[in-house]
Amino acid sequence: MSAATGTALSMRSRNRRRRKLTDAVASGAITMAGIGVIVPLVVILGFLFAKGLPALHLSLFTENPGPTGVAGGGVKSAIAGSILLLLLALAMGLPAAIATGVYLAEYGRGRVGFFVRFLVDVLAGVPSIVIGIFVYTLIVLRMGNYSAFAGGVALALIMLPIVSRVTEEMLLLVPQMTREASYALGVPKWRTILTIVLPAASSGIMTGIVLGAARVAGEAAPLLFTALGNNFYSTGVFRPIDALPLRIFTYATGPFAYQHDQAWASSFILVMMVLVLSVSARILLQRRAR
Amino acid sequence: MQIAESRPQILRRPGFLGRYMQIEYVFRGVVTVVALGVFVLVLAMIYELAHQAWPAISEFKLRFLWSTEWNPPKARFGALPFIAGTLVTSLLALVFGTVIGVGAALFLVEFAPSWVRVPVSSMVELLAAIPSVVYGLWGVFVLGPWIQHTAGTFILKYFGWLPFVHGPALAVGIFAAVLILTIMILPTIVAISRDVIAAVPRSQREGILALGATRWEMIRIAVLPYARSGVLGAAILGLARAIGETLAVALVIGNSTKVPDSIFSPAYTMASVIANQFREVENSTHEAALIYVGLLLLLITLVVNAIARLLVWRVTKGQITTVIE
Amino acid sequence: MTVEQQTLAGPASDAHASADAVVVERLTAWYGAKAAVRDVSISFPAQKITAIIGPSGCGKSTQLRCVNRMHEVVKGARVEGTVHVSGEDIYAAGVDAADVRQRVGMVFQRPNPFPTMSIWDNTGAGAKLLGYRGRPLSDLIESVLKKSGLWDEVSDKLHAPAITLSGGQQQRLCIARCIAAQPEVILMDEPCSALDPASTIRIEDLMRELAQEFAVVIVTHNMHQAARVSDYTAFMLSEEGSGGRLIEFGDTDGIYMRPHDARTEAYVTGRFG
Repeated sequence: MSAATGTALSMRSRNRRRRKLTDAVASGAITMAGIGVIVPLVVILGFLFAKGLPALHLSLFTENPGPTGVAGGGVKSAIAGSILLLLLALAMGLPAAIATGVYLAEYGRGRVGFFVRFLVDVLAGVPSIVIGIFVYTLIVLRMGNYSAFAGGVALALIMLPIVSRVTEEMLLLVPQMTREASYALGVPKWRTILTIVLPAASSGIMTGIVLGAARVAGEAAPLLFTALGNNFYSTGVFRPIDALPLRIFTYATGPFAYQHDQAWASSFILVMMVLVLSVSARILLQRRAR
Repeated sequence: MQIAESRPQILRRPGFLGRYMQIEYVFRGVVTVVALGVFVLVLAMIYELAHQAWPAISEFKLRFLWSTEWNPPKARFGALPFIAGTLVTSLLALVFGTVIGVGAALFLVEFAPSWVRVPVSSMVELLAAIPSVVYGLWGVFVLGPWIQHTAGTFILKYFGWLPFVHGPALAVGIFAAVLILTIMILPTIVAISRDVIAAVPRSQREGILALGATRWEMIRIAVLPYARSGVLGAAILGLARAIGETLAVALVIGNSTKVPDSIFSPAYTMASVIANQFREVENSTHEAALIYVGLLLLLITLVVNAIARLLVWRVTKGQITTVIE
Repeated sequence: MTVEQQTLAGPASDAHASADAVVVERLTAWYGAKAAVRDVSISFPAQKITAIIGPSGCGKSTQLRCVNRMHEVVKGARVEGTVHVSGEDIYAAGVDAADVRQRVGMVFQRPNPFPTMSIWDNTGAGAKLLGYRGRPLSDLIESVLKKSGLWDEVSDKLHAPAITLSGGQQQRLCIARCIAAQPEVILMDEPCSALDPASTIRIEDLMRELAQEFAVVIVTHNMHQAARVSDYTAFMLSEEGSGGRLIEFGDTDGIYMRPHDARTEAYVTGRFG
């Protein structure tokens, strides 16, 4: 401080006080933001438990919806529909998604691969309702009716980017040495991928599939004009079919109290299922990535 | 000659290498074609939507974008109310989401002890897993009444002098939609910003600290400027998500085809009008007009997503984040 | 070496004892459970250059970072002992670390200008924190750039990004930035190790000029540099990984020509490290 005069010193200490105050205020705001972000989760989960749990009856799983306005009934058709749609989406979407993931990891390290990867990420950002309209124009209009098949296609399109990117990531985690050991034995690339690399990455890819499934299980927007929904129990692939998120949507805007109760209970089931799947998938993913 | 004879039996069969190479080409070809199928897919989407929307496109052309008349019986359609609704809700959600999200990311990286960091990060990511329809349900039965009875009256009392703050505080409308959208895009912004901020090199932080900076000054001068393009990318990704969000918004937006003039006005966004009206179209022009809206929505999200991805990629060099939208 | 012998070897018994800018007493520094520096007592005289030498891992950088409280930036880091700067205990309760760091500046091994800022903004970053604006700020920036010998090379491109400069220029920029914040002590952690020989010479000349105003402490693994540049030299060693101790301290000629301790002699004659 040898160069500082008296006035410079007091100016500095005022300056320093102001800086410390700013630091304290900013730190406080940042801490509030950090704690604040978990408030919504706590509140939403809290209400799900508070309103969903009491309305959770076995009949939800065993009965179909009754006539509109009549209390009681369940959402069996919606649950069955969701399962069927998921299976259809997996059956149609997985091969393409894994193939894309294989391409990106094994053959797509250059410019074309960059282009494809970019598009896959962009596809991930297309609103699910737009995908729904696309499938409506592509399939529903041509077939002449709404169907579970169309719903499955829409969900497969939504699942595609997620599973592709995770597959790519998991394949890249397989050490290059493993591949080279195989090549050195004279095994061609395609066979290496199919018999060695894919199996090595399989558990990671499984978690990617689980993540994709968790995501599409909760989607309702793309089903609005593809699967349409159905008040009756149906498992016909080429007929309209109900799904749990669709039913929640319908009931949320319905006028009857029993509908609201069932909407909460169904949401509870849906969220629990989705959360369990997502959390376990993410934990497994992070553990592998380390 | 010795060497040729000592080659294993299998390699001496004619066409061996040829056949394996053929399978390699086929395999590689199939996989590449499937991957390029994504490109075809995106093109097909644009084509199909444009094709189905053609009656509306040829009739209303670009007038569609600024006409406010949405009259299904008379088959006169203009999408401005929905474009306005989307812009207002998404941009407001972007602002709130970025401020809170970047703040939370800073908290996680700079302030939180490690035993706090992991649980809070995970809880924020859990928010992303909750389906849109559940947000909507919660919005209808919890948030809406809260706005109507508590928050709305508070805001009207203290901020009613602002130009866009007036009218009765309904349970539905722009304000409810903005709140829900903000919550829904927080996980995206927090996760990416957190990665980007954590990636700022130690040498930068130490450089400004060594000059006598406080922690906030370090953040303001060394961390945030360094991380700015990544944070911007995160924000734009959040914006893209907000633009496309359908069901949660559909349940709380109030469904009005008039251009909103207050934050408490009911409105429509492009995504929610499609969701709400598509199944009850009154004529084929109505349906074409809705698909036209869908086409616009597709193009907007494609562009916004492309920009966001490029920004984030520049910073993280293409490393995959664990947040998958 | 016993504590008494170490003290005898230090400048505390010097006639210039009152001109010590930094006095370190019984400093031990931990990273978690591991002590990187153990029980070091040393003084750095004002307006002189003191070099700290020793083999890798002897704790010299850690020692340095304890003087401007940068050591605690790392999670799990801990310090025992006292450090007085201009007579004030910087580890006393209620002392603001940011304040200490303004008074004790640091130049790092790798130049670290802020990439989003121009040369001008970089140089003034620390001064701005102190409240400098407008005319006083530009005058200060010009004067420190001249002092670090960078002015002639950058005066016509002050608003170009700082990262467009060469490595040696960037380091001189970091030095200018450091002195613009008006410290009393300048710590330099192997400032030339990432630079080419020509830049190294320029910075060594700069150090001698800096010593006219500031107390300069430099950590270096280059013994020849220490011999060229410093007035005093401290030799540190960590035996069996138990933490770096101060083995010997004295004026540079003495350490190199007539070291008291056998280990010092072994190091300066190149038998290890």
